[in-house]
Amino acid sequence: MNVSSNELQMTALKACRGIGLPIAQAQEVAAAVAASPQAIPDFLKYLSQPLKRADFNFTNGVEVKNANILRDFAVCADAAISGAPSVVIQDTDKSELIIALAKHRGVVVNTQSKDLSITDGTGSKLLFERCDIDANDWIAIGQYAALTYVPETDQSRLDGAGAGLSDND
Amino acid sequence: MKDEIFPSAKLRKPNDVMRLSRMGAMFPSRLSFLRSLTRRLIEEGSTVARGHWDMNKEGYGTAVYTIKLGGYSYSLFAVTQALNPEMRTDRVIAEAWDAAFVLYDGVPDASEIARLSINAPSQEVGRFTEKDLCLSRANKSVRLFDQIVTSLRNGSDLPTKKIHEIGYLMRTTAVYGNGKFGIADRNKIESRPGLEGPFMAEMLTVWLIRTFTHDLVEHVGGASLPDHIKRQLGIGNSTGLGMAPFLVSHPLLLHSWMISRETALARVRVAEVGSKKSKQLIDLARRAAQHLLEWNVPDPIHQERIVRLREDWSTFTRDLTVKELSEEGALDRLLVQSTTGTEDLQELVVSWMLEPFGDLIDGLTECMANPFEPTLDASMRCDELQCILDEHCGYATKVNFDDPHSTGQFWYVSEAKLEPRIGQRHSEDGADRESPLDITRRIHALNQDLSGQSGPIWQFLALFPQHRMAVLRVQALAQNNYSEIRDNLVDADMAPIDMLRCKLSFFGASKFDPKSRLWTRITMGQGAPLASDLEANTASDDWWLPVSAG
Repeated sequence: MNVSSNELQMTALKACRGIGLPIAQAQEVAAAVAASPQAIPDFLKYLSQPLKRADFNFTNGVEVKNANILRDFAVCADAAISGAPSVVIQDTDKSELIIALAKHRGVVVNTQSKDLSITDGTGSKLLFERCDIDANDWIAIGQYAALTYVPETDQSRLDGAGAGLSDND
Repeated sequence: MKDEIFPSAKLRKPNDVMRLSRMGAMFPSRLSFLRSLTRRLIEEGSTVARGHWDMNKEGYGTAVYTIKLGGYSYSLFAVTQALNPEMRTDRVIAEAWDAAFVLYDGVPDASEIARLSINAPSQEVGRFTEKDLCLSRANKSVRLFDQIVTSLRNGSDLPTKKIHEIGYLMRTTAVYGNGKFGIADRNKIESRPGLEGPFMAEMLTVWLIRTFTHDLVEHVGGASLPDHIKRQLGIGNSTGLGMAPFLVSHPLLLHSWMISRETALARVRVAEVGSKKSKQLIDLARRAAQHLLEWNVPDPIHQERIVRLREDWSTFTRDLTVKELSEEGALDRLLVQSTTGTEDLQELVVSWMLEPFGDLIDGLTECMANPFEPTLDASMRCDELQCILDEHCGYATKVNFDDPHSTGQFWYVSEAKLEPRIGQRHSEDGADRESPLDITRRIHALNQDLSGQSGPIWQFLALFPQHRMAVLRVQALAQNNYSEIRDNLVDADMAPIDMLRCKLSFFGASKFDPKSRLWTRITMGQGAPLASDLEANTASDDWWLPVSAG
């Protein structure tokens, strides 16, 4: 299926919000996915993971345990860009999505044993272009996005939407 | 924009300008987008060609209009169908319309016309390609359309009073751009000459739809309408909540719109007026008075506002003289004087004052596009952020969110139709899926958790990830003072119609006709140049606040 970049970004944004990701982190992930659609299969894997609280240790820069990449990559990139001496996400493998997030934020991700280290890098121009996406992946993202939708009632149709029922004049 | 420095007064304060009540009182101005577009079309000498017209005698079929702008050709594809009256609804959830439209990149050939003929009438259910730049649909104003057809067929008098009262033959209920349903992303066209400004492709679509409606009524009526009547016929629009979240989700763009307008005002306040522009201001004041007289709406609250504004405007402009207006500082004094009146009066005064000063302010339209999003300064220290918050966000921190009234409403997207809606938080389900338009509440919550924090923001956000958006927005406010609506968008008394009017006034809408707190009808392009005016090189940019042709 061929989708516009904005369609992909907006649907990915809703999908992130659907799993409870805070809006600003959702925006970053969605923009990264739209700029790197090859990360979509990984993105779907991360969407299925629970949003547990991560543990941060700031003794020497930042070390994160139990990180949820969708939520916590942003602040790790922040720390790297802000000059933190060391930024480490523990027990995490490099993935297409992490590469996409790093590209979006202009940081570099390296594997260190079972961990990932993040350092400041040079930003590269992001290209937001329409892309072909696997129909099943598109449906799956849409299902996460649907978690933000509110079922309607007769009352909400009448009171919540606004416009009149008749356009005849 | 000209590389020139203009003298200017101080900008009006964001705490005054960015209030919903004032935004809900705004009027179109010469900086409005449809005005900018028609100026561009005039400057370029653009002309419109109707390359395809396949309509039966009832006016059902397809048409294609092509216009050249900035070295590119764009075509409006139109398809019409017979519509059962009960299918005709303003709602975004409608499933059929009298007409559907696509703004096409280039000139569609027969196979593309066939594709568009299938997909355009389906609107949201159709599927589109990157050749399709905008998607729209419209319903007839049936009574007016039929009356004009009857007059044209019989050769009888046209219903001129009704033509001006209603002001359009068709009313769009959506104009989609930027990638929706597979159409082209905005980045495909955002650097093309003539389409760089905000919503320019949408404005071009709307203006071409207006041209089509004129041709359609003439085709069905079997005779021509006089040009002065056609100029009176703009294009209507019904707008509901779908438009409101845009102002919240594009804070830097909102800032660009607002600061361009405020900068224009600041320049005009100290401008040398001179006798020619003084006379123009007096003429425009009379036109505005006439416009107000001709603007009547069924809603009693808004009609009362219009009636009050007529009286206030009459009082405000009664004693204007060329001599007085030509005196140094006259406009600044008038603006200050207007602040003792209602916000309706004040905002009409702003739009009025801007009108004669194209030489000073038209270049600002080039500053109204803004492709950027707020970026986080994660190395900022918490105490610095607190200072910004204290300086700019008093409107948010002073709200008592423990009062249920302050959280009485919530925004959401409906499952069945994917349209934005407003719910009552304390009596309806769904607030757990709330759309993030509660910026004021989020800034309030950030302020509470920020208290007593030290260290860099990134450490704070590691511990409080939910505040990332609020931090972004507060930091953005320091440099972009007009980026936030400085009101609580979930307050029980919040009226989305105010957000709609602000955005629509930037589009160039007039004759706001609110149907509830949630939606409004408007008129676009009434008085605007016709395609034939462009062709004849007689098009004029003088159509602020249209009045009847007499």
